[in-house]
Amino acid sequence: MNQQLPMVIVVLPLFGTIAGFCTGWWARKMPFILAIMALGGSFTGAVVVASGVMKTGPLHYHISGWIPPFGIEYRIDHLNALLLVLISFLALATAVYARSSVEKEMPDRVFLFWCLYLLLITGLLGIAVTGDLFNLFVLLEVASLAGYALVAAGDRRAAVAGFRYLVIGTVGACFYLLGVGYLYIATGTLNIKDLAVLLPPLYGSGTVITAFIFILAGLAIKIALFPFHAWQPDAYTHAPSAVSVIISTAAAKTFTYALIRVMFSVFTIDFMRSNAPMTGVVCWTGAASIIIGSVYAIAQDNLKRMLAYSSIANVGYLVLGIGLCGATSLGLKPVVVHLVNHALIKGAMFMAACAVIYRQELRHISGLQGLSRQMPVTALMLVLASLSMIGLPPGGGFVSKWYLILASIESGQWGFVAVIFVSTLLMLVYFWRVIEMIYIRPPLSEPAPVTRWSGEQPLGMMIPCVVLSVLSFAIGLVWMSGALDGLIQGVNLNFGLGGVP
Amino acid sequence: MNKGGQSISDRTSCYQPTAMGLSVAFHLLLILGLSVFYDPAGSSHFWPWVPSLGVSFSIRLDGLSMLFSWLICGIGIFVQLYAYHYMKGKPSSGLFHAYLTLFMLAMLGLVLSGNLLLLFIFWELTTLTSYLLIGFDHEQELSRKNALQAVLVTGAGGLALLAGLILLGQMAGSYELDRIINHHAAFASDKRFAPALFLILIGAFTKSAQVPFHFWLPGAMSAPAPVSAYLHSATMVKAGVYLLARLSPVFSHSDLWFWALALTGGVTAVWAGLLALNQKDLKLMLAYSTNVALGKLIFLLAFGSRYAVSAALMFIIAHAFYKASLFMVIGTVDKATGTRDYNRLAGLGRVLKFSFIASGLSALSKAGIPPLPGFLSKEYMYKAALEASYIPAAVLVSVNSLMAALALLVVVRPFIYKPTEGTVPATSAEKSVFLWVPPLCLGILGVMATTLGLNWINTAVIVPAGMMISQAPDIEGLKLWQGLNLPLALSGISLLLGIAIFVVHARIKEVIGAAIRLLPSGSQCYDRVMNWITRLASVQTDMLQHGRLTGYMFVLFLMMTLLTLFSIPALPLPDTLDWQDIRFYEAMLGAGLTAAVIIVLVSRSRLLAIVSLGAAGFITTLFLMFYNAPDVAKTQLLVETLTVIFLVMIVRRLPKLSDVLPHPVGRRVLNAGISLTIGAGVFWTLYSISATELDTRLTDYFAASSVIKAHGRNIVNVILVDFRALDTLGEITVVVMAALGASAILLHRKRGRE
Repeated sequence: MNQQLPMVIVVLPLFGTIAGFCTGWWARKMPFILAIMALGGSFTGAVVVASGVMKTGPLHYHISGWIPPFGIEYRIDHLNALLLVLISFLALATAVYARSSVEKEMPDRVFLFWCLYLLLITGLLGIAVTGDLFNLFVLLEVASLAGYALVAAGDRRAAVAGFRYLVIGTVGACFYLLGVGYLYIATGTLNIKDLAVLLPPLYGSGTVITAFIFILAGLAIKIALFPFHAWQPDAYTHAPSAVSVIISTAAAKTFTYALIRVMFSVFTIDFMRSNAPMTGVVCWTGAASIIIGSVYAIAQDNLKRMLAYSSIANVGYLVLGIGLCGATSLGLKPVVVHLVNHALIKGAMFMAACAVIYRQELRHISGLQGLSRQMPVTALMLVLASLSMIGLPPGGGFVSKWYLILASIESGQWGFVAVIFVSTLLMLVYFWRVIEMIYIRPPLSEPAPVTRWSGEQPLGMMIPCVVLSVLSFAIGLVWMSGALDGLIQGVNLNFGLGGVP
Repeated sequence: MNKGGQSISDRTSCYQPTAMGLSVAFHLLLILGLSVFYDPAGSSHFWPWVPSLGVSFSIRLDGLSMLFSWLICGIGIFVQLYAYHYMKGKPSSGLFHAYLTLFMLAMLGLVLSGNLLLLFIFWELTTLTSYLLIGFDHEQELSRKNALQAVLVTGAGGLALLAGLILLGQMAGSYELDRIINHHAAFASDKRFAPALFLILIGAFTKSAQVPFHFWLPGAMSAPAPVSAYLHSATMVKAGVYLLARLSPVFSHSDLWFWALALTGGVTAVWAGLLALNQKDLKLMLAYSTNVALGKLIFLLAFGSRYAVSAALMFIIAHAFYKASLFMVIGTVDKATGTRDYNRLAGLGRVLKFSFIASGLSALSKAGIPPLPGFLSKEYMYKAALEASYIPAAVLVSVNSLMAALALLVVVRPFIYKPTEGTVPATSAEKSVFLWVPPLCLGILGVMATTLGLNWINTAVIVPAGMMISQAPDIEGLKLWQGLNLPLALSGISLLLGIAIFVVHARIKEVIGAAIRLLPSGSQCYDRVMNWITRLASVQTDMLQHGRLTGYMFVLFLMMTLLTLFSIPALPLPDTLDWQDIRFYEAMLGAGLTAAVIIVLVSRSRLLAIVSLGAAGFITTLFLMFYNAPDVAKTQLLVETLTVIFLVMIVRRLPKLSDVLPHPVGRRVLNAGISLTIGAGVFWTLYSISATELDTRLTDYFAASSVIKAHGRNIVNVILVDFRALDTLGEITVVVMAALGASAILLHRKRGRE
């Protein structure tokens, strides 16, 4: 059983979909129960696999026994292991959260939601475990299509948002596929490990560089990096609550993972170093994304949309970290740290923001006056996550920024330090508006008399929200305590990073 | 206030006595505990906490941190007591005491940290907790704006400080204060020295409200009186001074340190003093006078000589007592009269007797009347200045005379002058002991400190703390009587000047006001920057996030074009095409394909475009047929057919092409350029690669083992269902999902229509 775990983790949600689809027609509550069971199983499996990887090193699984590169291989090293745990945890938390929100937002399509949701998770988990570039494409499409459909099921303007997401996302998938095609022509293989062996002599080849660019651009669209981000704000804003949560966290982070995997497992740090201008482009695109995303957020009054823009900035942090990783002794540490932190922080924020919409139908920051009295817990969680994001020590955001600043200084790039500073100040401005509205401004009018808690979100939504918010702050302490240093070292070791540059 | 809120606030309000009692007890406990552990020689306690970041939970308890700890906890007790009555009846007043205690803890952590990063963490926590306090009963737009302004300015400073501390830590190879201070000689020549110093100075100057960052402090004084009393006296703003004092051994030998501190401190002290004279609001006047005090402290730290250090330490003590007391008195005055307007207050001395005494004592110390602490510090600062030259002495004389004038202004008119018609009558607010005992105690303590406890202060604080700052072995205790000398004369001069300024205050106020209006104010610059950012944000959103898909796609492909430029240098030059090699049917198909695509592009009829698109697809299929890929051709044929069918199905629902505005010509040319570039790029890369031999390892394996191992004769099928079955499963899932997704949308539409 243990040996089959990598497969089981991915397949459980798929079975959940099928079972949910079959039972959902007559038993309304079944899909939710099945989803929780499937995701709970995946999460447990992921934890077991991850602890195994931490102990014994990378794990291989050959699907139907075909050895790579002929068959498809699942390969789990430290980074995938972390991601598996992260995705399955977020998926589980969001599933718990989704129950009430889906009942309210799409009462007529509850079981369709659960089917699509589980398929999305299947795709994401699959991306996280696969060791094959083409399989990764297929799963990318599974996840993306589920994403398009889920987004389109949202509010009145969601269909248009979903359509745009579909069109732009498909272009991204095409780019990715083209790149993979080029690589296949150049090397005759699709297995990631195999590619890493065959590619080095071809690093100077125009085809390989083109392939890299196509894959990079394709994935940049998926992670909504500036200037490939245009689909993202609408999609995040108009999607149903639970969908906003999951695509801004698990999905976005998984696509970022795919980018890291391609950049450092297929191509390697040597390729990046031999194409120094490319590394520069990666860094500066990240920096531009940070600034532009933050500036967008300043002008935004719609809370969900502001969070979406802030995600663009945070993707920038990740990409900047990726660009810098070859030049510092920290390696991918800033990236891995921020990947986890941002997933938790954004998850908490979207959960809180959507809970406000769920209860009070308040979408705009200017309408949040007096929220601390109507929804004390939600308001507190929103503020806690905001503070973590801004970088109040010792929260998660602080550790992210700390490592990024350290990486920038170590690689001698003072410009990026300035970028991080400016973006933090901008972040302070746009999150402070939220904090001010919630805590400092008095309520506009006398709200209807309510007893305590009646304005608060239902417990099923509140628990995941509280868990994520607290984690988003506490994770900073976890990182700082060094409890996860072994994991990060493992990640860096697998990619040949983190040594003396 | 809603009912729910009311009940919550009522609950915390009735906890207020408990909250206050616990807080005060906690303060006392801390004072006792720290005093017991205190060893004037200095002691460090070290627990590794965050080895990965180099953060350890190391505590450093020496003269300097003890001085601040005593002030923080000691003044804290009086503030808690004062707040008891001041906040009584306000919603959540119990919480207020908790916030105060939290802030006190953050502040205490800051001064006790023996590790730079720990110090930074507490630094930011004081920012956060102080805004919990400042924002406690914010109801006005202006004060909210000021709160943001304060957060931003100190936040920016915090970031700069972080970078500076990182650099410092990198230079020293450790974030432990002990290590950094002991090794400071090693990094004087490091090229990171100057940037580190610069960044740390920015951090300290923003926190301690030095010019040009001074504007946030008076802005943030809309806080309740106990908060102002606490923040302005012993805590918050002193954090910057503390940090500079702490790091003084590391940096003080550099010129940059001296000039930056001397100029900033001097300018701040004088400028803020003038601004203070120009205020109407008594509280604002005091707030600006805090700026003066901070400037003076920074100015003294610049010199770092033994006299300067002793003077600075004494002044920190004196200032903490008199400023806290004065802010409390103003709070009481506000309670009693409902105003803090300087011009509308007079004759309060008869009603608010105790407040009058408290403010009188504090003002005497502020003005520097012998033998009060204010005087003592003044003596030593003149000594220090005269050691250097006459210029700093002149600066100090002017600053001190401004201080003296301010002290007179705060007390004489509101309390002593006879009430006139315009003044507001005072109600007796001193019924509650909590409103007058704390300021009175502070005032008395401030006076007694030097007369009764000077020896103790010297041995317990001044000497050990001074050693920490200047590392000079010759620090000695302060003496009350220095003899008749120049510093005493200067003290007298500044006092007289202060009285003179007070007398002509009304007249010079106008002059100052006129002068201030000429200069740019920090607050205005801040507003302008904020406006500018907001405008930039909307412009950017309009430009980039306009909601038109065509525009998005344009940017996308433009970026793609630019990125492909990278691969061009690495691509081989294409060989000249061998035109002879092209067969007739190939040429025909190529021509047909091109024609079909051009028709799609220029057609003004949707139907024609769809038909041509279909034609292009079918011609592609033919290509595949000719190149021995029947499987792919079959698939392609199906896809093309379905595409055309779907397009025809929806074509009637689309708006007429003539109704859609075409892009302007320039844009169309650009579009054409982009698509041609991408097309050419793809062609070129494919063409250059088609020359290389395809690696057939996989194909060979599949051919060899599909029958033997997978028991299938159709290799493509075997690949699909066996070798790469997972991909096929994925693709099937995609199809299912498309159906699910469509039904999710359609179901909704249908229900919606019903």
